Amino acid sequence: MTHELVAHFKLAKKVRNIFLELYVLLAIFYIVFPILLLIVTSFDSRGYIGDILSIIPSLRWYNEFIGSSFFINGILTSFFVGITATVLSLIVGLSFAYVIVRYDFPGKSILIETSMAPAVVPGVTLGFALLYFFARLGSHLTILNIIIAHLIITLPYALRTLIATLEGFDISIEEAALVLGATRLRAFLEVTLPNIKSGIIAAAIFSFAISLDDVAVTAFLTDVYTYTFPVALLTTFRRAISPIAAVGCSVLIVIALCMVCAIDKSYGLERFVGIYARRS
Amino acid sequence: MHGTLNLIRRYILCLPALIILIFFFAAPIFQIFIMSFHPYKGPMEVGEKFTFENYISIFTRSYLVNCIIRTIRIAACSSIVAVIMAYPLSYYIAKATSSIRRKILLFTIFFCFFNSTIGRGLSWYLILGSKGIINLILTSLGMQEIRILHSELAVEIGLVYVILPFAVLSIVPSIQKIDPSLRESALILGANEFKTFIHVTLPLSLPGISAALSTCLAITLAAFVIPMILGGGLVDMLSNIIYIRMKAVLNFALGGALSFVLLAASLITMYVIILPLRKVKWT
Amino acid sequence: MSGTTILELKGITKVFDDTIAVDNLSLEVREGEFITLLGPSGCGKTTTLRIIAGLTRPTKGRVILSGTDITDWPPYARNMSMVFQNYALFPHMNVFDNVAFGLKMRKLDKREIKNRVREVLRLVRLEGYENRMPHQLSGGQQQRVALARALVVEPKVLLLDEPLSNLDAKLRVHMRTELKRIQKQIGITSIYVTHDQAEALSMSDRVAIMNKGKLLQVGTPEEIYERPKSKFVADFIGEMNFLKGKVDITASRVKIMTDVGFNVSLAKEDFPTEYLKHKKVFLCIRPEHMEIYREPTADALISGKILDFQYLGHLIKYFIELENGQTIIINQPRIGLSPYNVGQRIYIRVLSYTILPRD
Repeated sequence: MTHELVAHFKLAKKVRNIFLELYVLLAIFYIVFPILLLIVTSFDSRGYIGDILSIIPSLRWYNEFIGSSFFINGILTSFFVGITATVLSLIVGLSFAYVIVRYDFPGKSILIETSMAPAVVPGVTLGFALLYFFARLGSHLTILNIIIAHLIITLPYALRTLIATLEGFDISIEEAALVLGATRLRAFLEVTLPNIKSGIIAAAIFSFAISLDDVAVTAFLTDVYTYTFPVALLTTFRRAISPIAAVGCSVLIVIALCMVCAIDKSYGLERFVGIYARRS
Repeated sequence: MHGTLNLIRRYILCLPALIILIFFFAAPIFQIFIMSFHPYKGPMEVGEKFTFENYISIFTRSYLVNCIIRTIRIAACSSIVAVIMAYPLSYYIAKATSSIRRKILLFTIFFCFFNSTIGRGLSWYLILGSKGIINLILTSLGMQEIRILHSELAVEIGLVYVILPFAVLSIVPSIQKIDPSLRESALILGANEFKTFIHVTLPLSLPGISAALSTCLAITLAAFVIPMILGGGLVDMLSNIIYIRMKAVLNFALGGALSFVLLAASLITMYVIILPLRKVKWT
Repeated sequence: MSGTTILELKGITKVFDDTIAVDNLSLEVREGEFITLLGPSGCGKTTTLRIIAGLTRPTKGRVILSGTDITDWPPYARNMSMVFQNYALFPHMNVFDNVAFGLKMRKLDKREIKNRVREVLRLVRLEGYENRMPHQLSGGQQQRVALARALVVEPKVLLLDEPLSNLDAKLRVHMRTELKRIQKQIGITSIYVTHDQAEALSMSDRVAIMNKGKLLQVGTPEEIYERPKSKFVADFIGEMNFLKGKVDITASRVKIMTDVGFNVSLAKEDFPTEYLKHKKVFLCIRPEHMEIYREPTADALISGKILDFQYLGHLIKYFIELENGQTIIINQPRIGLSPYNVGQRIYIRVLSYTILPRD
């Protein structure tokens, strides 16, 4: 080991680090650039998707978008469905997750696999299965059908987050409450719940995001009067893709940004990465 | 007495989830499964007898068989590419200590993660189209326009963009879990940073890689939006075919059969690619 | 064990953010010796070991191995080995591959590797375990594999970071003997880190006591125990009673007066010269260096009252209050029960003491 070799090792290390940093920089650019492009396109005044360099900035399509009852209805429906499905998902998921994390009982692993299954089944399959099911059931309340469908598809994701949250929760403080005389329910409400608040918020946001994004399942269950926002957007793609689609997507981008910030503030992005650690 | 009460209490808490899953998930899926074994009689209707004809007709129609193969091909390629692209990013997130850059990377990945699939598809439509960024650059350099849109490549590019965050998030925990003293042991025993990576870090992150592949495959095999936007009808994946059959003709029998072929293809592909990696169990 | 210096630390300092983990530490390690870095948690001993290994870079100072400055060298170039507290066996490799790892990195041929691995496994008494996986082994076995892995590469220096801490008490004592036996058999220079005094004193040729990043004293276990050079060392190793004394220097004698009835008078030549300038000193007396008497005698002049005692089987530990209100500890070897009762007035004879400065 001579001085040259030592210097060589130091250089190799520096080069390796630089390559990694460069790759990361490229990756960030790769992720962000398409998003920026989309946002810029939404400000195009032309009526067609043209080349980006000859863009004439205007709020034309934003005005059209806001004035379009078609899209506004879609957004309102999406939010309504999303929030309702999320709340239901949280309630169902929390009780389920609580039992999963605390206890062992026969059939537990089968139960867990089944609850994660909706994420593995292709959306279209679930979509028309539910279409047929609701038709046979005679349920013509479209909005209810959509909410139930969204409950099914968001449940695995809410569950994953809630299970990770509860596993990270120190059970001994709950047990301390029990020893001090609280019933299980009170211990849960007054000790556990406040401490897993951030996890619940993260699960809620995650569920909402899944619900908001879904097309495959929802496409089968919508009708002329009741439709969600992404389905509405997709139908405009049938004809030529116009910048109004870009406007719609830009709205979704802003919502996505808010969601990421919300999760970071409440649960922390670093911790959120860990929820995917479960399955392997 | 107390024991049984507790047991009942546990099962009761599972009940809501169970009811919902059985009633609104397992039952409908099962119903379709049954239907796939009955002949098509009309929109949303099937005949009485039990038959394999739906499945047979799938495998005798070259159009459908090609679609199945295409779906598996696109899914496998996108997933593998995405996992390879994701690994260095996951490594960076798992290893880099402080660093604002790490926070920015994490934020960006989550931003992409929560972004809508339609939005992501549209973005690449803008880049890959004939008036898109790539062609703009090429024509301004005096070169020929290339047609990327409406091809398998376009769909794969779009899918990679969609599943990349999933891959990153699946791999990061497995790298983080690696005991730092293992790396230090290797270093002291004579392995330089590269050899340490090959012999210690990479093998130990294999569970994360297999989880990433499995998640990516599940998503890409069922891809619907991306092939629709970037494939333009020329590159239909199985989900698109099913959608067309169902929405237009309401042929639930065939649709059901196609769905289960898709499901079976998903499971088979996942096990074929994941199995060699799954072999390793080190705890 | 030769007298040549194989490793030298010159002025090693390590600063983490605001804390000084290692403070200007200089040490010479002799070839073939077993030297232990001993100190309480957070004293910087592990950091020092990691700096020697190359896993941490010192803020200041140099590390010199056999005359070569290796401070900037990466860990894989230093030809050292380390045994970690948690063994750090590669979970995805079996015992053979774990032990062979270092040899593989050195690109030895397969047959050579096989022979060496077999030999070292025999040394740690684990022949036949080649195909086991780490998770199939007990803690003690894992530790021996870790040791084998470190030894098989024939390093210049073997570093051990509290390797026995994770073992249960009985196994720990057994492993101490094993480790020492192997070290002596091979003759490899070993630097051991621990917070366990018994371990340090029983295994080491020399002990280096550290506190708050500073190296306080280096010496054989006997030197450390009998002749501590600072109050911290005196107090840290074993138990120590400290009597406050005032120094009175005359022409030929040095008198030290305490307020408990114990005074010493030494010839000037017998008093350590470096302490002559101190007006106040400590008389340090080990609990086993005092005797208890029922009645005062010419030697047993210190009077005390028994506050409490603990029966420890092989000895009785007395807590005694002296005239000035101070409590001291006396360990009296004993067969049977205590002959003295709580509250009883007794007289103490001092058998030996050390002097340490007090100001």
